[in-house]
Amino acid sequence: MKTLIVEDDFTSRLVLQKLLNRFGAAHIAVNGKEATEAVRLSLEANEPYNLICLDIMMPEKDGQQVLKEIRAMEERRGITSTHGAKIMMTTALDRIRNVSDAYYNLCDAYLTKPIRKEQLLGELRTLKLIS
Amino acid sequence: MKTRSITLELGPPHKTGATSPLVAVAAVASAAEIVNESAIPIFDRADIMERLMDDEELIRIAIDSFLEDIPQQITALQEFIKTGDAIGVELKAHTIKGASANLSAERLRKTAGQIEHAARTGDLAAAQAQLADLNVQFEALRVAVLQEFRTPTLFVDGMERNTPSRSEI
Repeated sequence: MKTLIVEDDFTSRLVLQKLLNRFGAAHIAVNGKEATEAVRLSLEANEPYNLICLDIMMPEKDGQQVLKEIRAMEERRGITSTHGAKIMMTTALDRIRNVSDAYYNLCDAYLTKPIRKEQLLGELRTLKLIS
Repeated sequence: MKTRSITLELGPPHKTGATSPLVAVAAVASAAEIVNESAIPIFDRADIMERLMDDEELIRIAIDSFLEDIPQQITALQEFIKTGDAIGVELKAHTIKGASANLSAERLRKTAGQIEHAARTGDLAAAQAQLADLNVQFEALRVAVLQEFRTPTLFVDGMERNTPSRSEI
């Protein structure tokens, strides 16, 4: 499983990376611009990400914009969202109700912060990324 | 969570310096908030252990990265307040709040949340008023965490501070 973690918080980044590294390479992007660049390069190299953990609230370019851009890049290559990367939006627990509808059609799962290991592993199993 | 019960006797209103029932209720609420504040844990060890399923390696990474990064985030937050950048203050406080939640640093999380809220409403004076608390709480947290885990010098082995180079992607 190849993962991209898009997260502006250092602690969340490292905890997620350590957790996900156990299942394969876990790359990091610290903002939306780096994220879209990483996805573009992976698609060009024909080595797309299986999972993208995408923080919603980031400076400069937020997660919603990045989500749209990633799906647009995939679409241009003939990849529909059901066959593209599994995208897990991450957000603070107190904001989950406000955002869940907005991303429904484009993303595959939500991960609330603070990070719960059990929740993350459960989502990975539901997405059939791990057994 | 233990809280002290507070009673406030309401006397008859006076012509000058009268305490209206509404003001009295507000005073009770405010006093209760102060008591509750001290009941909020600086560091909730049980919570982080439960969330990260007793994964000691993960917990150490969380602690190390937090203690390394948050002072820089607080400095940046101070700069945004100084330059009157409300959006910058809101985003930075949001980051500190999220990181604090990940470390089960409840008191710091609450104060960062209050700064975030103040910035969102454009009240940078209120945000600035909370800054001293934020610094004090971070130092208290540092002491509490290191006492709990007895790890004065920890390093994040093999983890990257920044984005991988393009060749790694």
